[in-house]
This record gives sequence, structure tokens and C-alpha cells, in this order.
Amino acid sequence: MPGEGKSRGELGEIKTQLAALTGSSGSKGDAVAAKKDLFKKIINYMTIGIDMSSLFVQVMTCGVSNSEDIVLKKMLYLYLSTYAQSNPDLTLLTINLLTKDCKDQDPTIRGLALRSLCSLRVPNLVEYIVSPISQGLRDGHPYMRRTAVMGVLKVYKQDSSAVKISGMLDTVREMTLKDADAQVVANCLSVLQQVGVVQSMISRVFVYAMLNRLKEFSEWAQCQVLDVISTYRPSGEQEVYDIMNVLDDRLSHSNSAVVMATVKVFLHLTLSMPATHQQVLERIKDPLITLVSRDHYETAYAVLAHFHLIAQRAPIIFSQIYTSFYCRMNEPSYIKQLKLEILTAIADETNAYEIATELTEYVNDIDEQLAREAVRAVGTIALEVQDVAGIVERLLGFLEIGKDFITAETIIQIKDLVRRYPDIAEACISSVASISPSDIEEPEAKAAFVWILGEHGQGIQDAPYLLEPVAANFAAEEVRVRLALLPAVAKLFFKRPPESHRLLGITLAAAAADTNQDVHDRALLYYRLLQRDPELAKRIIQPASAGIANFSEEQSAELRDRIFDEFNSLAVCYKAPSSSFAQAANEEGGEGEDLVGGSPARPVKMVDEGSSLLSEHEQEEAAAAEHLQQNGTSTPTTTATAAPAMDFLGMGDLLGGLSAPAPAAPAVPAGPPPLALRSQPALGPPEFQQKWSTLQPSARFTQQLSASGLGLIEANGHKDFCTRLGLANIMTMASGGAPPTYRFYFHAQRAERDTRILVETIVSKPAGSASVTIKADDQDTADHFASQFKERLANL
Amino acid sequence: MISQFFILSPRGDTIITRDYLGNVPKGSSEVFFRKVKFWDGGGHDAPPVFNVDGVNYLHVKDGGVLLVATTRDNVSPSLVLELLKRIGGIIKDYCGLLSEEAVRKNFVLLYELLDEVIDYGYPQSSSSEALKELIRNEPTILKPSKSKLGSPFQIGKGPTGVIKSVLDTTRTDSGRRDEIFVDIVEKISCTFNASGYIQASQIDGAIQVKSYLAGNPAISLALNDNLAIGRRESVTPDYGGYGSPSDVVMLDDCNFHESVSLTRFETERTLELIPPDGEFALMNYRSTYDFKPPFRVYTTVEEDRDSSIKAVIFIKVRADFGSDKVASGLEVVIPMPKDVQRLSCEYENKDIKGGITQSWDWQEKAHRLVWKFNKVPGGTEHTLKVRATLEDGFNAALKRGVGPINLQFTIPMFCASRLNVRYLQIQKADKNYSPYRWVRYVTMSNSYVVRS
Repeated sequence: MPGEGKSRGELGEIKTQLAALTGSSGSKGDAVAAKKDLFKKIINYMTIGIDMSSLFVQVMTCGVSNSEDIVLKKMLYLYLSTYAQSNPDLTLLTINLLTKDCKDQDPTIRGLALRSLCSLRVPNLVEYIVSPISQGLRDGHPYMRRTAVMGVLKVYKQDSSAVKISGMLDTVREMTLKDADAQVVANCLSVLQQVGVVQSMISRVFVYAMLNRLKEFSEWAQCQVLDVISTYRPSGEQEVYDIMNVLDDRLSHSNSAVVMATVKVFLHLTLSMPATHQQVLERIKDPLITLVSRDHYETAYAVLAHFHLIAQRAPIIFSQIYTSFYCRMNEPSYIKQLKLEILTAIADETNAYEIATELTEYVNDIDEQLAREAVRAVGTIALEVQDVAGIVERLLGFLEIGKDFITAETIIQIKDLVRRYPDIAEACISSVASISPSDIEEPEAKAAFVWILGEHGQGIQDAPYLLEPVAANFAAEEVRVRLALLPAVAKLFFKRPPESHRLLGITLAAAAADTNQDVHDRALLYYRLLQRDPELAKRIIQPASAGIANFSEEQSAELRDRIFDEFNSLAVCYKAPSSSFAQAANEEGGEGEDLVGGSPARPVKMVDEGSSLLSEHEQEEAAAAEHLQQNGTSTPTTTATAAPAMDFLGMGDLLGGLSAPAPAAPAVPAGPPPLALRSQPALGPPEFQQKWSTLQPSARFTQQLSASGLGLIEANGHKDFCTRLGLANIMTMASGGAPPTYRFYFHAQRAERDTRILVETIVSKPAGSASVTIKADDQDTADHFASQFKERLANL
Repeated sequence: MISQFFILSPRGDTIITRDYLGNVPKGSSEVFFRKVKFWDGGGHDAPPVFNVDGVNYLHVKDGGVLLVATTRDNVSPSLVLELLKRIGGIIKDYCGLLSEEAVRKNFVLLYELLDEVIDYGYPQSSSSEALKELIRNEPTILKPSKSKLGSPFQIGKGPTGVIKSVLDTTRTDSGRRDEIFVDIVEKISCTFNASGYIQASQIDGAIQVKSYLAGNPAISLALNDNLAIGRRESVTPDYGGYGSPSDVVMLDDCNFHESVSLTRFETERTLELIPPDGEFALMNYRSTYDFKPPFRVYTTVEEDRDSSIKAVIFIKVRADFGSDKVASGLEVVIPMPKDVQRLSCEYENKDIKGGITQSWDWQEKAHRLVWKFNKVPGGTEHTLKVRATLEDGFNAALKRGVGPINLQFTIPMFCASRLNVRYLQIQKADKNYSPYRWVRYVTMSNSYVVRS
């Protein structure tokens, strides 16, 4: 405490002054003025936290002698009620004065004395208090009765049996229905609510009696009455309408507390009347927006939090008025954040595009937090209303802004998006592929980036090389990144073994040596799985599953219902039911983090590779149908070299591969005879499609293309390129795509064996490369063909 | 209900503190202040409601101080926050204004008031005139420093020009001055897109009253006959067309102060009330109907003919309101593209008449240009020519980086919604009773943004 040392000296000085004033013989007026000044000083010290309790006796004796002065008396009683607890014995001495004042002529003095008497909080003084309260309850002046009723509650909290024995509760109950003063009634309600007996009193008669005199109550007391009424269950619909009619004008009250209390009554009364409930929602939206529009951000915040809850339950009601939730320049961040959440909740097919456009403006805002939230909001909207055109494009556009934190947030959103909608992965990954992992600092984003590369590595030509620096720097990455890298690398390996072999080796070695138990255990699991049975490993690490329909972090409808039951309470602001914060000591509930934040290390879920590919291809086929080319004719004369078989079984030296680099690209041993291809192999699109979906990829590689090669591919609507391949008996099934990515499907048939060869080639113009996937009836043919095709592409 | 109430200075000093229930530990004000100060790592506004270790903290910022309530109950946030706001209002009514100094000078009075407003954590009497009977301390009225009143943006809160206590009305000497101020304060939010069309707009209005009428006589306030209230059905943005059909003044919705009787409102558009002492919002209203935006901004970006690494940016501001009105203060904040390294400005219209002065300021750190006027008469047009030195040379995308431009202004005696007070009648039998009556209008910017 500042001035602790000094205060000791001050304390002594005040003590002396108090003593001097107590015995002073000057004129009365001067003495009172001097005492007031001194008391002010004491209260000031009290306020800043300096303990003034040691002056108790002096203050009392000094104050009592001039207690006819009300200002001085009020200060004296303030001091008394503050320090009575630390001087229980001495407080006893003041009881006389207080009880005497409780009988004063002036009702304000009576009230003041009784209020102070009840506020002493000294346990063994309860016996002295009960009788003045009982008298107070029968006092002719409402001020005294109000104070006395609150006195009942104060004593009840200290010693409930004393209240029960005295029968005061019965008096209070009676007064609730009979007292002429509305504030007395309101205070009675407070007592009965706290004691827990108010529920038993709620009846039709009671509710109607309260409603009839509602306007006599103060704004605050109206809220209290309405709160009690919200628990009433009317006997029929007509009664519901009657109550709502009486209360309707409360919705255009300028005090948001009254409006919110009324809204609660309306919503809870109509819960079992769906059509009326909808009408209520329609009715309340304008008054609520008006409350939000005032320039009191704090009260607007409370209303907005409720808006958010209602909007989640019935988004359609608000979908037309989305512009009301656009952020304004000067609003504090807590308002903007809530508005973004509301915009996200009410986005649907009709407004998503406009909302996403507005949010895009916030992404460029100088306020980093707002920009981040805006990216998240667009991501969430894309998840919810994915079929609205232009939303995903907006999200991808954020990657081009060039601010690291926006890139990071965007990648996290894209990850979630492709988790739920694997079929749009293709559109997303070409944007993601252009990012370098060194540009991503934030662990969550890095983990998301790694996940995308692992999951959709077949479409990202450089995937293994993008992951390599992350693997090389393994130990320095955060746990979540390390945990994400393991499955990503493994999945990439299943898709592109030759290129990923080395990467997998590095990663497994680093992870096995990790000090983190999770990372270490998982690395060993993967290693043993791969060693024992690569196919089994593939099934486990890359299981078949559809897109994710719901994320577990999302608030459940059941939880929202529980919060809705506590409408117009802090639970709505915290987005958590009161049970989670009311009793929980030592738990920070400020943001309800435990409920909505998700677990810190979000496990990376796996999306099925097989099914997504299939659907992707089906789409592709449909689009490519128009481009279907006629089979070319030519004689098969092609040389080929054999590629080494995939090293699925050579797992033994995976870890050892660290020191001895595994061949990333197939070596070219001389010898094997050229692969002869049949001219004019006949294969229709349906057969192709069927075969493509049943065969596993036999070989994959990526080939850099020369500038002239790229030019050839692009020229003349791909016809030159296809014709040239046709000369080598490689037939074009379909070609398509738009710059910068083209896609081709070829097929061929081995002359001597009738073995079918199916080829997918994705040409990425910016990368200047072609990614090739080959499927064939037998591995030998595939390997042969692969090296041959690779050479062909290289020499275009 | 409320466990504790305290008022903290901007530095976190407790200047008023009251414990009602004794169920929250003593150090709560420090816990609160630390949390608020370092919210989200600092630099962000803490939400008005949060929970630390099972204690709920609710607070309101007003007049530079923090009004705080703590509770362990799952209370209605609206109730507690409105109550805190009301306590701030009571302090204004009694002390003339709410500021750290006013609270410090009047703390004994405030303890006296608080005792009556809250008992055992439950709100009791909160109207300024009911409290008057119970209050015995005299307020110390602070005279505001000149600098505070000098700023044109200060009058935004309504009739704050007058600083006096409601206790003044109980005086019987000649120093008493009965008066009532009625201010129609409108705040407009308007967002223009890059093509100059209005994307979203709203008027948030209030009829703010500050009343010092001894004996609280009833008053009636008549508004426009042609006032219509109701939501428009479609919210499709109307590109550029202003004006509602015919002369109807349209409002989406409104709400009223507790004291207002609406019996004559439906038919005569007249509000009747017995005004409480002090300041209150008689009516709040909101309109999303089109109105004519008072300012237009046009930006053009050109390549400098003399230098390839320079661009010339013209910012033109047009005051689109009647020439009989004068905006008292206009501030145009123009964020500049990343490419801009340095800039210098000149005014196109160097010698404007009528005592208008303008200034510009390049805030390099925030990377924005601030262009200020002491006043802008309606119908006038001003252009700022900015010569900017670029890092990478001129490119056509530069224009997108100039903005979003934000305008701040205040236009006295102007009412964007065209709501007006036909008459203000004070109903008192005594014919000689003629208190001062002030009806004023002011329109100011809330969020006035021109996107690029």
C-alpha cells in the first residue's frame, strides 16, 4: 500500500485531533465543521485502503457528541458499518445509539439507523436487531419499511434461524401482496427470492397483481418482477397473450435491463408455442437493435451477446437485417468481435456473399485482432454455406495480402474447409502450394499447412520438398507441428513413395528421438507398423472416412438450450451455463474458454483419401467429357527403361536411410527392352473410369518441363501435345483444366500382354512441372511405362 | 446481487468503494484493474463483463473513470450495467459532471448517494429528484477547464454545456435559474464503397433532456406531424437515391424514457411527461432510411508528370448541406498506401473566405494523413493536393491503398433525419413562470467511412 509508513504517522495525528475535538469547548458550529473535515479525511483514507479500524473508540466518542448533525452522523455510520466486524466488542457500545435513532421522528434518520444497524455483520448482535426490524416492518413511512425488509434479508444471511423463529418471513410474504409502496414490494420479492420461497407464491393471482401495478415499480424493480414472472407457467395460450399484451410497451423502454427482462418473459412463455415464438422473435428484433445502436457500448454488449444466442437458434429471423451488425470505425473490440460472431451465425444463402464482402474489408483493417477474427468468420461462413459462389475464393484471396498473420489464419481456415469438403481441396491446394513454410511462423497454422500437404500431397508437386525443411528443423518445432508432421509425411509416403522415402526417414528418426512422449510413441508406432505390414499401416494411418460433418469444438445445441434457459444472465455473455462459472473458484470463466476454445492440441483428423479421389475424378470426367478426344493411330515404337520397384518392403533401412540417401527418383539402369504398346487400343470412358477407381496407383512422379515443352502442351488447345503422344500409341482419354493447371488422362495397352495402362497428368504452369500418376494391371508394366513416359515429358 | 461497488481512476486508484455483501475478497479492485489493463496482452478493450476466480466483474467507462460492480451471482448483465450507467448519471446530475476530480471532490456526497441507491446489493431509489430529499451534503461544482469545452467534438454527448447540480432547483434565493435543455442529437454512420455508393447507413438519434425545473412541472413536446415509425421491409442498399417518398420523416424504431406518456403520441405525435431532474434520454430512435449524406469525398490518383516515383493524389471534400449551416470542425483521416514513403500537400483553394482555416499532418508512424478544418460552411468544396513519393514507382493499384478514409464532424442546427420539435410546452398554472427553454439540434459523425 503506498504511504504505509507515512500513514502510521497520519494515524497518530488523526487520533490526537479526534481527542482534541471531542473535548473542545469552542462554539458548536465550529466544532461540527472541524469534525466533518476530520471525518472526511478518515473516510478518504478508508477508501484508498488504509486500515482505520484502530481509531474506532476515538471516532465513536468524537462523533456521538454531535450526532444531531446528519451529515456527520452519516459519516459516523459509514465508518461504523465498515469497521464493526473488526471491533465486535466495541460495536456493542454503539447499539444503544442506533436503536435510539431507529425511533427518531424523522423517517430518513430512522431508516439510516436501521440500515446501519443491519449492516454491522457482527454475529452476536443479531438479538438486538430483530426487534427494531420487526417494528420497522410496521412503520408508517415506506422508507423505513423498505429498509426493514432489506434488514430481514441481512439478518437471514447471518442467522437464518433467527429470522424463521421471529416470524418475520410471514410478515414479508404478506407485505408482498399488500404493501402500498412498490419499492417495499420489490424488496420483499428480493427477500423471498433469496430465501427460496418465491416459487411457492407464484400463481395466476400473484402474477396478475404484480402486472397490474408494474408501472409503479422503479425500472430496477420492474426487472425483478419480470424475472419472477418469467418462471410462471400460464394455464393456457390466452393467458400468454394477455400477459404479452400488458407487457408489450415495456419493449420500447429506454432501459435495456427492462427490455431484456421483458424479452425473457416473452421467450419463455412461448416456448411451447412455436408459431407465437417466431412472432415474438420478429417483434423483439427492432427494439433490440435500437438498444444496440445507442452509444453506450457496455449495455450494447450485453444486448449483443443475447442477440448472438437468439441468432444461433433462429438465424433466419435476422438474415435480412445483417447490415445492422456491420462494424463501425470507433467501436471497441469486444463489440466488433460479437458482431462478427453474429454475422457468422446469420449468414445463409441469401446474404453470405454480401457479408463475406464486408468481412473482407475488415481483413485489411489495421487492427490485427479484428483482421484475424474476420478471416475466421469468412472461414466459418465458407464452412456453413459452402455452395455460395465466391466465398471460398475470398478466403483464398487472403493468402495474397502478404501479411504473415493473415496467411496463418487463412491456412487454418482452409484446413478446416478441406476437412469438411474434400471435393474443393483441389481448388484450395494450388493456392496453398505457393506458400513457403518459412513464411508461416504460428504453430497452429504450420500444423494446418503440414496437414494439407500430407493429405493432399498428390496435388502439390513440391509437397515433399516443402515438408523437408520442417522435418530438418524437427526439434525446434512446437509439439503440435511435430505431431502433425508425422502422419503428414506418412500419408505423403503412401502417395509418392520414391520422393518421400528420405523425408519419412528423417522424420521418423527425429520423432523417435523426441523427448515428448506423444511424439516419440507415435513415431515408434508408425515405424513398427510400416515395418510389419505397409498395407496395414496405410489403412491405419490413412483410414477411409468421409468429410467431417461437424467439428467437435462447435457448441452443441443442447448446450445452447441450457444457456437459453438462463436468458438475461451472465451465462449468455460467457457462452457457458452458470454451473461452469458460478461455483468454480480458481477457474477463469471470462471467455468460457474451456467450452468453446477446443483442446489446445487439436488432433489432426484424417479424411479419406480414396473416396475423395473418386468423387474428384467423377467430377473431372464429367467436365472433361466435352474434351474427349478421338483415338490417334500410330505404330508403337517406344523405348523404355525399367524403374526400380517401389520399396514397400524395404522398410528395414528407413531409419538408416538418414545417412545413406535413398534414391528419390528412379535410377536408370540400362538393359531392359523397350515397352511395346499396342496401336489403337480400344477403351471407352466408362471403362476407363471404372478401371481408374478400382486400380491402386502403381507409380507416381513429377517431371520438370522445359519452357518449350510447356508451350507445346498449351498450344492449339492441347491438340499438338495429344497428337504427339498419340504417335507413341499413348491415347488421350480426356484433357481439360484452365490455366494455370491442366489435367490429362491417357491410356495405353501393352502389346504382348494386353495390360492396360492408365495415366493422369497434372501440369502446373507456375511450377513448370507435370505430376503423373500411373495405374496399371501389373507393377512391372507400370514401372516400365513410367520411366518411358518421364523421358518423353522431359524431351518435349 | 451486487457484492461491491467501486470507482477507479484511470490509473487504477480506488476513489470510491463500498462493500455490500462481504463475500468477495478485499483485493478485488486490484484484480480487476490488472485484468482490464492487460486484456489480451494490453491495448484491447476488456469486455464489460468478465469472471476471475469465480467473481464476476461488470464495469462501465464514463468520464474517464471506471464504475465497477462485483458479484458472485449469475445476475442480469443488462441490469447491473444499466445501474452502473445510472450511477454515473446521478453523479453528473449532482456534481455537474463526472470526472476523477469531481468524484474526489465530492466523495462524501457520493457515499451518501450510494447508500440510498443500493442497499445490500439491491438497487433502491435511483431517480435524482427522489434522492434529493435524502441528501444533506452540498456538492462541490467544478468549473470545467477551457480546453475541454473548446473542442468541437465535446458537445457530442448532448447538453453538457451546462454544468450544474440538480440540487440547484431546491434553492430559494435569486441564484436559482429554472431552465430546460432539449437537444436532438443525431449520430450518423455511413459507409461508401469505392465507387461512391452508399453501402450501409444509419442514423442513431436521441432527444436528450437536461431539466432544472423547480417543482417538476409537466411538459409536452410535440414532434413532426409527418413522423412515421416502422421498419422498412427490404434492406437492399439503395444506390445513390436519396429521400423517402414524399415528406414523411421515417424512423425504424424508437424507445422512450420511463417517465414518458404516449397517450397523445399515436394521434398527435406529442410526448407528455413530468421530467425528472437532471439529464436523461427522453427518446432514442434509429433510422436506416436514406438521407442525404452531409459530406462527399472524391479521391483521384495520378502519375506525376515530372517524376516516375511520385504520384499526385487529390482528395476533394464537398459539404452537401445548406449554406446556412456550418460544420464546426471536420477531420479527414486518410490512410496512405504502403508504397508511399513521404508526402507533401498543398491546398487547391488557398484563400478561402469566412475565417476557415485548414491544416494537414502526415502521421508517419500510423501511415496516414490527417486533414483538419476549424469549420466548413455548407455548399463549399475543398481539395487537398498530395504529392507522394513512392517506393516502387506508380502503379494503377495505388488508389486502392488510399483509404478507407474516415471523417469526423459536427454540424450544429442540422438534423439528418429531419425530425424536429414543433413546440415545447411547460404546464404550470403560474402565468409568471417562464423558465428558459432551449431546443437545439446537432448532427455528428459516428462512423463515416469512404472505402477505396
